[in-house]
Amino acid sequence: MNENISWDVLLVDDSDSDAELTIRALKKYDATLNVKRFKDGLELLECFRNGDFKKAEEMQLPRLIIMDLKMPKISGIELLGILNKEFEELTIPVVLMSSSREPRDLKACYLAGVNSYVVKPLDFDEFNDTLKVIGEYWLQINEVG
Amino acid sequence: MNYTMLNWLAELVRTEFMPHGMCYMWNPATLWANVLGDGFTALAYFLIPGLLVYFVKKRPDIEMKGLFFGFAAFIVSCGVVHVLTMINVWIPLYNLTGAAKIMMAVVSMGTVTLLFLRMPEALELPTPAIVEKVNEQLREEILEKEMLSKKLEAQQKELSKTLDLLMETQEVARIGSWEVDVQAMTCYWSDMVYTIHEVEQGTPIAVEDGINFFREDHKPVIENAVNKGIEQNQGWDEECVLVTAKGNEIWTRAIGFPVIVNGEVVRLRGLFMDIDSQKRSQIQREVDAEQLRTFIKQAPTAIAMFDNEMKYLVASNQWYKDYGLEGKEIINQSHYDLFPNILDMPEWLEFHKRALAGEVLEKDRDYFVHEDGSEQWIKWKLSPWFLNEKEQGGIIIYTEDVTAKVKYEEWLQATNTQLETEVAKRTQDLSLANNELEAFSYSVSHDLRAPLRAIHGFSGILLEDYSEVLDSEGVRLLNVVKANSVKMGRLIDDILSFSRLGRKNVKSEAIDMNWLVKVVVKEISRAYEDDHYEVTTGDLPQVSGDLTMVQQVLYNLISNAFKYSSKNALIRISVGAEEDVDGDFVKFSIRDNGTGFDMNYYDKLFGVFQRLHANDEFEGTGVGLAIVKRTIEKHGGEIWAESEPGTGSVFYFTLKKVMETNPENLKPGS
Repeated sequence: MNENISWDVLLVDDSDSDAELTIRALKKYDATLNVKRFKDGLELLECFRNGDFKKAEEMQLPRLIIMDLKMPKISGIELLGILNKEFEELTIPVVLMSSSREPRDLKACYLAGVNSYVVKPLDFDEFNDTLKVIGEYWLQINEVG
Repeated sequence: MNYTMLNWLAELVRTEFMPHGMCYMWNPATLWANVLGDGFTALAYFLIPGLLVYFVKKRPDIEMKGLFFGFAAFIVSCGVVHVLTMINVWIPLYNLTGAAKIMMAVVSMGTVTLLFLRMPEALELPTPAIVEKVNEQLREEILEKEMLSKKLEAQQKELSKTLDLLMETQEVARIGSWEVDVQAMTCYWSDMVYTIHEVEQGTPIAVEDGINFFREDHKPVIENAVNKGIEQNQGWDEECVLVTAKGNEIWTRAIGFPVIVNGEVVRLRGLFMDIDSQKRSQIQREVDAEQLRTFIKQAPTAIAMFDNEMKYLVASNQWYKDYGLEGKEIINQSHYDLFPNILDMPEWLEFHKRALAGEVLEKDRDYFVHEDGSEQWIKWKLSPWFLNEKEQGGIIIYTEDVTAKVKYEEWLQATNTQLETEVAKRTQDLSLANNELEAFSYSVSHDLRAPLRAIHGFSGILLEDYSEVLDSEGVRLLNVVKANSVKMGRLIDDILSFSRLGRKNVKSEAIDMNWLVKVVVKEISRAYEDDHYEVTTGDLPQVSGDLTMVQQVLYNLISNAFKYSSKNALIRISVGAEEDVDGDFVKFSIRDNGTGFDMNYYDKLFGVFQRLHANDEFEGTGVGLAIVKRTIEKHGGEIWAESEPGTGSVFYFTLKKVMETNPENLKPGS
């Protein structure tokens, strides 16, 4: 891992295709964005536990975490729970992206403290548009605490 | 007075004879014995006639008074003789004494003659004993006579009373009398007979006329009676229907008997009474009793009526059957004679006794084990019945063999328990299956979409990043891949919502359909030009249902109407409703002027993934109408459609009316 890079977005998604599409769409919106992808929740947790994002004084904290809901080992909701519990000071907004439109998933995510829930559009153009809007809102408009 | 007479008198008192004391030689004893004897005798002889006269005077009923006076005179004359004899002791009045003696003789003889003459009569004079006996008899006779006369008097009184009563009775009881002169064949009718016939009093009546008053079917009875009366000297007593002069039919009783003189019937006479009301009520009573008997007989339960001595009055056929009495004569027989074993059942005897004392006893289930070991459940009831307000007539026993029922109930309960267990088990199975299904749906919604997104996405990347490498055919092909992946995504969405529908609970809320249709039309019409469509909506009543689900139904149907009419220059859609006044449902209709469908394939119209149009023509997954049908059915309603290709289609569906309008339940917009 390159320790000098300041990560803008942390992406947790087990699907390579989805991850690739997401990163591409984000880069399309802003080519300068540094997006770090994790294959599952445990990888992300490991980084946090190592304090990877706090090593250099000048380093900025990532401004957004995008995570999938349904992942192997631990689900997005479980990951959220652990993060909230272990890193009380963590204030990075979390956008949950899922293929599911199940009402119970939505409810569970909001109860777990997600900041936004977005259904991954199937259509390629819509997908790109959606990520553009996410980037605009969370990386430009939204203030991180 | 002449000298001779004086002479004769002097002669009577001549006293030159020797005094009779001389004969006694003046012996004082002899002298005083005679003097005193004569003296007392004379005294007695003077007293006796006095007493006799006194007796006769005091007893006016005494017979033969002359005789008593004769005796009296005879004894007085004897007394005179004894006085003179006594005087003769000192003064010798022998002549006077002689004369007195002659007198005495004359009186004595007279008395003797009298006695002699009256002797037969005297002999017939009853002795006091006889008199007493006779008197006794007489008294008895008198008593008897008195009694008889009293009796007679009473009888007369009674008779007159009876007569009065009879007259009154005739009037009240409408009894008249009649007589027929057999020779002349004429009738005499009493006033009441005329009244009964409603014929004017005194109208002459021939025998024939009298008979003609009887109703046709009863005429022969009377004719026969009259003939028998005349020919066979027989009396009669018949009840027949009379048709009066005014045409009223009444029941009468005719009693007649022949009057025979010298062995020949000369007259027929008898009574005639109006018994209509009694007869009719009697007939009614008989009918009532018969009805009641039939009612009890035919009752499909075992029921029997008893008198106060537990003797059968009537019993239903079922009773005969249940107690093995078929073919037996049980009426008037004692229940205990027919079933002596009851006498060994003190409990039952006690129940009978209590019911006979006016108590109502019943039991829904009574368990019996018979001698052969078979068990029986009996439902029974004992209730008293009353002759009038005070007097009990007996009891009614009702029994029903409920063994089958009890067994059935037991079986039912066992089956129910078993069923409940099974249902519980199946519910559990179902719930497991449901969970699995949900897991499946979840997986489908998530896992199937991801690869589709990849197909679509990477096709997109190819088109974007390698457009200069691809020729137009390559671009077209990639677009086909994209379109198909989108379509598959839509299929997955529809199938998921369709399966979700099955698990969803239908809420019941009042829905303002006018508002909901407006909302739905607005949403759908966004995709169309304003001048491309025209939607007319009638006045739609409120319905009761699940707002989201009903909205889905309207969305699917109206969007279909738009879709299938979209090739027309003007899309015409009308939404209407008809309220069934009596029913609980409202019928809605959505009509379009679209391409319609072939009614031959109607059975496929509402099927899942069934389409009646090619996808090139009109896009669709074939799930929309299946969802609509399922939703309406979940609401208890119905859906159907009519169409003519090229003209348009009408979709009808029914939803429940709002029973009570509660404005707070109404969804927004109203």
